[in-house]
Amino acid sequence: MKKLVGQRQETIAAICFLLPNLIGFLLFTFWPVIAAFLLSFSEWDLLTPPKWVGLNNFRELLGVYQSVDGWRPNDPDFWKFLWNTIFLMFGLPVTMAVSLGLAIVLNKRIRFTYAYRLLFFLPSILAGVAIFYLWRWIYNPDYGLFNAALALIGIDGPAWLTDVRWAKPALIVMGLWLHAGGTGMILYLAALQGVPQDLYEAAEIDGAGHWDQFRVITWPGVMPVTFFIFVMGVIGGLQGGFEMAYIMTQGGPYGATTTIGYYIYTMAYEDFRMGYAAAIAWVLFVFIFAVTVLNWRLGGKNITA
Amino acid sequence: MLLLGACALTGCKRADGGRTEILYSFWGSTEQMAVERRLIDAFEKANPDIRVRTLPIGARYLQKVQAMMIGNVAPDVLMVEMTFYDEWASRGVLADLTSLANQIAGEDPFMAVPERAFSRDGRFFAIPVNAHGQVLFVNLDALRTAGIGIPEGGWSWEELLELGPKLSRRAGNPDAPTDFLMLQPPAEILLFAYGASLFDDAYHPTKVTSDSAETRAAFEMIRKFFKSGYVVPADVADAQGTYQLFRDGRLAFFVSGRWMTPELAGRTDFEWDVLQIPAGPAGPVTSHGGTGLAVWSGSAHPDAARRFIEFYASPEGVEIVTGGVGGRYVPVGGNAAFSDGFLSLRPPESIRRFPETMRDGAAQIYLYARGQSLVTRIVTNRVSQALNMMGVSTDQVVQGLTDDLQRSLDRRPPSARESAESNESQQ
Amino acid sequence: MRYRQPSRLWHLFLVAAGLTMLAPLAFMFSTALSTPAGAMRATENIFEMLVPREWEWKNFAEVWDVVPFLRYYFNSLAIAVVVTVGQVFTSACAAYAFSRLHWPGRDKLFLCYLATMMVPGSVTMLPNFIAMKMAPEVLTGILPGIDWMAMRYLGTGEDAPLIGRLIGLDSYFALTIPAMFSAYGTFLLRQLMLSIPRELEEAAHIDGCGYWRIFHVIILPLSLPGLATLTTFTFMGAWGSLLWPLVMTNMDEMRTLPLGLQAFQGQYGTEWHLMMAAALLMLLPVVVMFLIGQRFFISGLTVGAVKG
Repeated sequence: MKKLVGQRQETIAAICFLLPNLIGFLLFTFWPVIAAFLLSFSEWDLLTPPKWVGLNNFRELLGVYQSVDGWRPNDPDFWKFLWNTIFLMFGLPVTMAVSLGLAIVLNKRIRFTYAYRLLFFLPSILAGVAIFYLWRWIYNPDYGLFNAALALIGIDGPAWLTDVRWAKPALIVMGLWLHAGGTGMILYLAALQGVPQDLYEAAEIDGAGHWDQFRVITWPGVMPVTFFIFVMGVIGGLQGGFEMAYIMTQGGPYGATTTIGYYIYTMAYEDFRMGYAAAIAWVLFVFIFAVTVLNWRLGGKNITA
Repeated sequence: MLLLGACALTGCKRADGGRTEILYSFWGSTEQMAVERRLIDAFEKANPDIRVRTLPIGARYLQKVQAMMIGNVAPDVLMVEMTFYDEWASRGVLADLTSLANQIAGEDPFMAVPERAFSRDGRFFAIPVNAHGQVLFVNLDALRTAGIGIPEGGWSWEELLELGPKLSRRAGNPDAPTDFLMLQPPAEILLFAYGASLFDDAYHPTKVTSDSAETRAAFEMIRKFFKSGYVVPADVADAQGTYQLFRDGRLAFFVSGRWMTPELAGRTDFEWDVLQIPAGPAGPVTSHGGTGLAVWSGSAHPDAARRFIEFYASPEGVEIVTGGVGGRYVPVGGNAAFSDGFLSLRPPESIRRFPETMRDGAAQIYLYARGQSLVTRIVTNRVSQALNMMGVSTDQVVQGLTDDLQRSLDRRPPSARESAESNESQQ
Repeated sequence: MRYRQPSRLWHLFLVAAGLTMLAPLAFMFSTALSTPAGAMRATENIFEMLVPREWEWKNFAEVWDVVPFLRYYFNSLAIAVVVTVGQVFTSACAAYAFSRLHWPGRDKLFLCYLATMMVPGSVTMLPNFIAMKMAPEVLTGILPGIDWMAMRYLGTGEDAPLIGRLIGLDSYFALTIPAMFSAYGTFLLRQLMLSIPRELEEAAHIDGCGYWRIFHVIILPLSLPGLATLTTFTFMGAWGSLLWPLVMTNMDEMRTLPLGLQAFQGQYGTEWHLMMAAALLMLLPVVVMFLIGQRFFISGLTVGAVKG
């Protein structure tokens, strides 16, 4: 009896502690997810009343039609911007490799590692609007730092951000600078510190070279973390790109740097097609959900192995 | 903190010093801002009970103002452009100004182009204040050097193209006075000059009519210009900007509007003038631009806003905005535009070409259709296909265009669809 | 311990990497101290770009005159502080309920929380925007006694500063309240609180302490590293937030620093010396937070990965 009363008390206390967060959660996260779903079946410019259009938005977004020159997507922009989003993620493996390299060096028993770590971590902490303006300036074809550095080795650099061919690679290079020393490096360091040192010593006695030590000991040791960083990077990458595009390129040149995230923004807050924007957002959600489920399926095995 | 709380609940409103304050949004350069400033000063002097705050918006004007409408903080007076005016007028976010328009037109009737651009079935949701079509800017020195005289009534597009070898060094004539004949002429101008029409009715389109011999002829001409070697290739235009090429004397001709005058006046070392746009089989058709002033339907001070617009469109206001250093405006009333005051402004010498573009007979308005921006994108895409893929025949391009337009007609946004339907039911 | 490698080589590598990290920031600093002409001077010598050639400290003063920079700064700071305090509080309370208390349905609800971390921000943002747009209209219908639509000013003078609507677009409500609830913060703190030994709490329980007392006397102090991590992240997130204030505000007075930087980007080109000075001023609080919080959050970062 006494225990039951205690249990009830505890439940009431729990509700009280949970309430502020729960109300906010219901109001600003849970309900909006449902509302966005309903919204995606409508057409609404917020000036005239909304209109229920059924699956029209999804048909427009994902469908194809037959034209005189073959099958064409109803919304070629969507596929182009999806490709942009994926293209920008090609920088992820490179960034991760650099992160791992930095972490391996920092894991050696040398001095000042803490100071180096702070230094490398700094760009990822500063990342945001101010740094995007900085990189727009760095990529200035005439007065920017990047082309000046290239001139040192005799390369006459292009107008990075306004050249269709170079805008995406330029953003990837910036991403490398921003994130190489970021969360990924910190996670790798933590993982490396978890690898028993005597394994290396034993390997050295066996006469294994550096490469073999990396292949046999380090790589399996950091595998779960690699997987985690990769999946988080993909999830982040699928949603990302808005701030970069808004500050640095306005999604240009000719849509070369428009990502799905920026497309949703322009649809919703420039063209004011709320229903269509909600449809894109929901398709993105499904994508991310699929990636996460895939992660559980594959990653679960990987980490336990 | 207490003050904040008290204000929050009771609703502190700022004292206005007994004056009504209206907000006025427009776009344009610093020079344009100076013109607007002069007009506002004159207005406030004549109407001491009204204060006009300005909201100059640089980029993405349409989007920003629409966001403000949604947020219920839009400006009272809005500058609107012909091309997007309809998007707002059809959504009911602009106040009906028909009576004011009739009053203004009663004194000096609007010319045909602004009248058609800003009236929707006889109702006005904006008062036109400035409009005109594009004309042909010519480098007179270059013509003189090449020994070319200007024929009475101007050239046709074909004739203009044939001047290439005499004027363009790129054609292999080292003695020619300029590098290029001109930029690639705007596709819409050629389409309309050759009599192509994309829809049966620009305002209430029900049928696509672009699959025609006229459209094919226009596309042939577009391609002919591009292939000639006399027009500026894209990389040169990218590298140097477009109007700079004309200003530097590297082009013989340039298609543009009155707004180009301040960029050229006193800044070239050659003599220049403007001519009527070249003619096609359908005559000298050109594309028009124009601005009007509208009152936001949510405005708290619609009367003050109307008074401001009335002043803007009055002879006094017209004189302020068209004269002076601005040189961008062309009055929309026939009397004002052909008045000695306006026609005596220099440069250019033939300033009357600008108001002439707005009279019926001299030129026609160009408007693809309601939902202009989507149609413009479709046309642009097909033009770029025509220019960059020479393997695709003109027939195929025109078929593709018709196909795209048909789709755009089938899936127009509901607002446009509804207003078309309601208009039909009214008729 | 012996050094297996000639560590000088590694240092060379690390210094080179460090310089790469620093070069853009040095470029930023030297531009911020340039004259307008100095910023736009083409030079062959890259070192001239990295080291200030002029020391125009007045750029930092000029920034405040060009735009309502002070107002943007104030808005950003006030919003970031309020959001941070709010989010850390609600997250800590919820984390306590999820980690230390037992009640039916606890783990199921927590899973729901976790699942929402997958939802992209753009999905929830659209309805939140529409809700904020409609809030004043709806509230006017419910409580017509208050003018929900009106813009409020602090005082009644002719130049009294605008403080926006009570609720809706262009309100401090919209800029702060929705950002105060975070599934991530709840998750982070819950993981940390789970590792606190049970005995301390039980002893307190026997002494007759209530839940609130246990929470703030025992649990909170022991969760300090987590709280510091969350504080740092939340502050930085709110401080740098671009999209939310962009869509939630139209009035200049209600805008924040990330939006305000646009003002240095004129129609005829950007004033890069002022832009960089303003950007540096924007980074200042972030660097301060970073230096204070670094001890905590570098360890806090690994919580999500290792235990999640």
